[in-house]
Amino acid sequence: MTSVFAPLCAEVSTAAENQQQVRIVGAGSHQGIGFSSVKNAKSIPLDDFNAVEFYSPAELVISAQAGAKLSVLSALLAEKQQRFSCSFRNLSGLFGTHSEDATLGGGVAVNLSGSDRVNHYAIRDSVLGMEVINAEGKLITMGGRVFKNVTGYDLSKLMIGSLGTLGIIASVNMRLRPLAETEASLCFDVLDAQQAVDLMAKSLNSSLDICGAYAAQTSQGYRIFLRLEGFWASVQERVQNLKKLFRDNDLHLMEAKESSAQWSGINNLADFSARDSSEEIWLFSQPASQAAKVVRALRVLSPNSQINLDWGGGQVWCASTDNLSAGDIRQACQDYGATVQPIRVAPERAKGAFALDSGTKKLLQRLYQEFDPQNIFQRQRLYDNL
Amino acid sequence: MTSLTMPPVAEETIAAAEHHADQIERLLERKDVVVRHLDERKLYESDALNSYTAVPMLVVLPYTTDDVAKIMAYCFREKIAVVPRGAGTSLTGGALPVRDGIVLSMARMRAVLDYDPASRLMRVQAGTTNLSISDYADGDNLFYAPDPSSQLACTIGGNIAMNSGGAHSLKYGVTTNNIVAATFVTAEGEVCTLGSAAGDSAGLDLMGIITGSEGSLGLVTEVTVRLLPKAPGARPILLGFGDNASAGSCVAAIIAAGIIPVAIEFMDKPSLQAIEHYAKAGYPTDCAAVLIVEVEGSEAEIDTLLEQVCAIAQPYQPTFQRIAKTETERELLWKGRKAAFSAVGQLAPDYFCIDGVIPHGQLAHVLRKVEEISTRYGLMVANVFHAGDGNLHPLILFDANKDQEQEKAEACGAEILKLCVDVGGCLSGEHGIGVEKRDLMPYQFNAETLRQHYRLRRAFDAEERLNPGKILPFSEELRP
Ligand SMILES: Cc1cc2nc3c(=O)[nH]c(=O)nc-3n(C[C@H](O)[C@H](O)[C@H](O)COP(=O)(O)OP(=O)(O)OC[C@H]3O[C@@H](n4cnc5c(N)ncnc54)[C@H](O)[C@@H]3O)c2cc1C
Repeated sequence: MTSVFAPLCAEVSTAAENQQQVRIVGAGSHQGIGFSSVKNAKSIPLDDFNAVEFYSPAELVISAQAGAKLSVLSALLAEKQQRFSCSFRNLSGLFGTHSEDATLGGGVAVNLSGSDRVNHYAIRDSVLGMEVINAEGKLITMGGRVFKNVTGYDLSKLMIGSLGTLGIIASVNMRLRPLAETEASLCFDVLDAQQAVDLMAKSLNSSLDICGAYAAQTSQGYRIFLRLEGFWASVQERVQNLKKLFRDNDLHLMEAKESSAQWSGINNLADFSARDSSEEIWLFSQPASQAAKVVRALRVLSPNSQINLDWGGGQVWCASTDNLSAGDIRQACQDYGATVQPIRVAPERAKGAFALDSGTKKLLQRLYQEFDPQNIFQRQRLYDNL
Repeated sequence: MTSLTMPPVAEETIAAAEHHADQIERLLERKDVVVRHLDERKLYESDALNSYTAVPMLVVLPYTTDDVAKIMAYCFREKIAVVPRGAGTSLTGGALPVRDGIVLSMARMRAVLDYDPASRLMRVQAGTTNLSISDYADGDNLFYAPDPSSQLACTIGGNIAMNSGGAHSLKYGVTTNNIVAATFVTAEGEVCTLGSAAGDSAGLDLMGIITGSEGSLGLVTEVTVRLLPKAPGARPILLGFGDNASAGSCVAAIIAAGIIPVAIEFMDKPSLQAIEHYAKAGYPTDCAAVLIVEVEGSEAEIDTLLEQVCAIAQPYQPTFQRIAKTETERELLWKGRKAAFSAVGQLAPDYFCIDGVIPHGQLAHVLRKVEEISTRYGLMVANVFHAGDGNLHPLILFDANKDQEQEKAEACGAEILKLCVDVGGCLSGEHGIGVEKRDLMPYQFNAETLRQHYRLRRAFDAEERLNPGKILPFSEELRP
C-alpha cells in the first residue's frame, strides 16, 4: 500500500540524491525560532497534508497529519468536550505571523509547552507516536496510539523540539483530555520576583491542583496569576481554599471568562507581543526556586528589560533592547542551573546559547551522522555549534 | 531453560577476569567494588525473568558517577560488555547478564543528593529505590508519582531504563513524564548532563530518548525527579461484574465520559481468588471480574466523582459495589492489588507476566480472545492489570518441570502480544522488551523502522557492548 506521504518521501529522496538541503514549512508562523536556514534550501511545504487520520474520543486519541492547523483541531476536539492533553504556545504575535495558521507538526517541532505544563502534560508527554520521513526518504513509524509504550526506543522524543532537523514529521498521534467544565483565577500584587516565586511555590505545593502560576513584572513589582480548573463545585471549593491561603494579600478573583482570556494571553506571550518589536526575547529554564536569582542577574545586565515568570518560576521570559549576547547571559545565569534559549534574537547574539558538555556534543554529532549523514535537514538550524 | 540466541561469547575475556578485576580495583582505588567469587556472582545470574540465566564474569559495585565513568572507560578500552543492573526486578530479562561481561550494579548508589521542595525536585543517585524517594519527601506532603508494584525494591535507574509505570499512571503518567534531568555516562565513559530542572529545554530531548532504552545506551547515575503535592484525599471504589466483558466495557465508558480517575485496575476471577486467599483484602470472590476505580480530591470532590462513576457503571450491571470509607479500608483494598503477582504465583510453580497494551476500547474483545487463546493452549491465565491505560498483564501459569509446558506458555504469551499489536496496541507498556520480546519486534515495526532503532543504538554504542542482545532482534538483515 502506498502511503499518502509518498510524494514527500520522493522529494526527500531526490534532495538526498542531489545533496540539497531542505526547509520544512508548516505554516511558516514560527520560522523565526532557531538559527537561520541556508538560502538555497529546497522548500517542502506541508499545508496539503492536513487531514485528521483518526479520532477516537472514547480512547482520548487523535491522529492528524502534520500540516493540520492547531486551531482547526482544537475546534474539532472542543465539539466533543475534549482538548490536547498539553497546550502549545502560539508565538505568532512575536513573529508577526497569523496565529490561526500554526500547525500540529510545527508545534511539535518547536516544542514550547504552555503555562499548564506546571501540572499537566508537556508537548513531549502528549505525543504518543508519529510518522516521520527520514533522510533516506523512508517513512518510519515511531511510538503508537496507546498511552503506555516501551516497545523499543522512544524515537518520537527526539523529533519533539528538533525543528525538523532529524526528518519530516508527517503525522502525529496525540493524547487528549476532557475540557475542564470551568476555571477561575486569582491575581494579586507582590513586591518583587523573590516574593512572587515564594508565593507561587506555596500555591503549587498545596494540594489545590494549581494548573497555572505566572508572575508578570509591573511598575511596582510583580502581579501573580494562579489558575484553577475542574468541575464547577470543585473550582468553587478550591477558590475558597486558595483565598484562605493568601488571605494577607489583596486578591482579585477572575471568573471563567476573564480567566480563560487571561491565560490564553499568557500562553501566547501577549504582553511581549504588544511591546516594541525590536526587543529581543530570551527564555530561561531553571529550578523554580532559583528564578528570582536569574531575574536579579538579568536585571544587572539589562536594567530596563521586562522579565516575566511562568511555571511558578521554572521558566523566565526576558524581553530586552540591550543587545544581550548568549555568552554574557549564560555566564550570568550558570550558577543557578539555568538553560537558555533564544526565541527572537539576532543570530549573531544568539550564537552559542546552548552549553554542550563534550560527551553530549559527541552524542549529538553521532546521532546526526547516523540519521542524516548528508545534513539535508539542516542541523545548524537547531545547533550552531556542533 | 529455553534457548536464546545471544552474541558470541569471548572466552578469552573471561579467562582474563581476574586481571580485569585487579585493574578496576586499582582504577577506583578500592578493594570492595568487585565481586569475583562464583557463588556471589551467581546471585546476579538472572533478573525476575528467571527462565534465562547467565553468570557474569564479574560484578562491579561503584559508589559514584566518577567510579562509573572510570569503569565504563576501562570496559570500552578493553572491549568488555556491560550489563547495568538496578534491583534486578525486570520481568523481561533486561538485566540478564552475559558471561563475558560485567554486571554494573547500582546497589550502592542510593544517596539523595539534593532536595528542593520549593521547586518540587529531588536529585538522587540512580540506585535509590522508587519508594524511598516518596518517603523522603513525605514530610513536605510531596511524592514521586510513578508507583510500580515493585516500588519497595526497584531503583529509579531501573525505572528510567524500563520507563516503568504503576497503578496511578493513568493520571500522573509514567517515568518519562516525571523525571526532568539525569547524569548519564556514555559507553566511552564520558559524563553528560541531560535534560534540565525546569522540565523542557531547547535542543534534542536526549533525556527522553534514554528513558525506556533498557540500559543499552549508557548508564544513568543521577536523576532529578519531579515531585507532586499529594491530593487532599483519595478513595477507591470496588466494582464487581458478572463477566470480564462488562468490566472491560465499563472502563471504556468511564474514560469516554470525560472522567480521568487516578487509577482503574482490573482483576479477573482467578486473580481475585488467589489474592483473597493470599492477602485477605476482602475482595468478592464470586464476581467474574472487579475494578478498583480510585479518584482524588477533597471530600466533596471525591463524593461527586464516585457518584458519577457509579452511575456510569450501572448499565454494565455491577454485582458488587463497595467504597473504601477510611484510609485503612483504602490500604487494604490496594494491599490486595499490590500483592497480586505474588498471590497468583502461588497457583502454579511458574508464571510469565505478559505486558501488552491495547486501546482501552478493545478491552472486552481482547479479554475474550485471551481466554480463547489460553484455552487452546490448555493453560490457565489470570488477568490483573492497569485497565485505564489499556495495559494488560495476563499471567500465564505453567509448570516448567512438565514436558514442553514452558515452550507452550511462551508461545501462548507471544500470541497474546501479537493480538495486542493487531488491535492497535503494542508489545510493552512498562516492562520493556529485554530478551523476552526481542524477537517479536518485527511484528510491531517494519524493517525501515527497525533500522532507525539500530541507527540510534549505534550512535550511542557503536560496538553494541552495552546490554548486548537486548531489545533489538538479532538480525544482520535489519541493520542499516
Ligand atoms: C513483583 C513485581 C512487580 C512489578 N510491577 C511493576 C509495575 O507495576 N510496573 C512496572 O513498570 N514494572 C513492574 N515490574 C518490573 C520492574 O520492577 C521494573 O521494570 C523496574 O523498573 C526495574 O527496576 P530495577 O531497579 O529492578 O532494574 P533491573 O531489573 O535491575 O534492570 C532493568 C533494566 O534497567 C537497566 N538499568 C538498571 N539500572 C540502570 C541504570 N542506572 N542505568 C542504565 N540502565 C539501568 C538494566 O540493564 C535493565 O535493562 C515488576 C516486577 C516485579 C518482580
